[in-house]
Amino acid sequence: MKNKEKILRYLSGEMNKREIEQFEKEKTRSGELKKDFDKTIDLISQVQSLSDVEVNDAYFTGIIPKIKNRIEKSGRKKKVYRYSYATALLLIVLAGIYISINKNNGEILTETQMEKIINGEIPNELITDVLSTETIDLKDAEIKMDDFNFTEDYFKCFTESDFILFFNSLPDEELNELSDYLKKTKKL
Amino acid sequence: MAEEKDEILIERFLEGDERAFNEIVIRYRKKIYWHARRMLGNHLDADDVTQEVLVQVYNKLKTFKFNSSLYTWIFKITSRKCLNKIKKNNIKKFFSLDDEHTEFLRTNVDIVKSFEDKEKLNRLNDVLNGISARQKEVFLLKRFEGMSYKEISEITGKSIGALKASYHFALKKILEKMENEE
Repeated sequence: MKNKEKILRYLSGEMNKREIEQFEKEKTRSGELKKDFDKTIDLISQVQSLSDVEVNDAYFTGIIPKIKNRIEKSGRKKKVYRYSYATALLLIVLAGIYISINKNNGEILTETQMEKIINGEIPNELITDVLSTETIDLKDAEIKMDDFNFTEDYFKCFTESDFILFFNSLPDEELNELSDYLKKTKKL
Repeated sequence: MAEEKDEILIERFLEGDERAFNEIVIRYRKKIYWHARRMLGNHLDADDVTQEVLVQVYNKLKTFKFNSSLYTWIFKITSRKCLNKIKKNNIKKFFSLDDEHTEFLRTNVDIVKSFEDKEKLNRLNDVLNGISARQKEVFLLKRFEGMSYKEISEITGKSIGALKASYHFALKKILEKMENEE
């Protein structure tokens, strides 16, 4: 087909107003363009007619109950999912609470112990009363004891978990001081 | 009795009238099915998409914003479902995940009554198979649904210029195939 591209541009709406006018004028004048154009339209109609078929209409009448059934099922599924998520979440929370309570058992410092720490006394019971056995290597930390008014013996009996608890109880000023010191010595 | 407007049906449905949804289904079921059927090429997938679309319409109708017509909104859902189905089928084919039973159902279960009509639809599939899913979609919406580029743009999210180019390319390929078969 000689005029194919032109016809395709016309049918696709890619021509501007002037081009459309020109095309339509040419179509009335030129027998060949008219012939090609009619043939194209005929082919498109043929494609469209391939879909004109007779079907079993019972399928369409039966679609509503199918959909209602699917909606009901999906609603039930959603409910089941929602309950499953809620149960799973509850279990996770309960497990979290259980673990945190058990983890702290035997590690939480009593008020007396804290007082002893603050007063610089060594609470001996801490040595046997902890779950974690990792001790902080003071030589590695290179912390000058004089800066913090704690004796080296005091830290020796300290475990990592004790340190974290103690560290959390430090007043802001001391905490900043410690942080600055560690930054200075490039530990942080 | 004159047909109620889509907007009125939606309002009735939102007020809890389930019969309004049935009327929406009756109004659009064939359009959805046939678009899916032409896109996917078989009854089994078209049926699945039709049901999925209508279930989604039921579930999402309360969020319908009236920014577009119900017709374009439904076609937007249908279009997305069809393209997803094509992608899923391609992936399944790539990994050979479809069993023989599904393949058998796909070729043999149909609502088309006569053998001649089945042949006609097979020929349509054959003609449309030479173009990409996106181009096929533009061609079908324009030629079979009689939609304007503006409406197709609302459905596909593509610019009108891009749609014109897609339609041009689709038409060219389809005509070539038809000419070769003549």
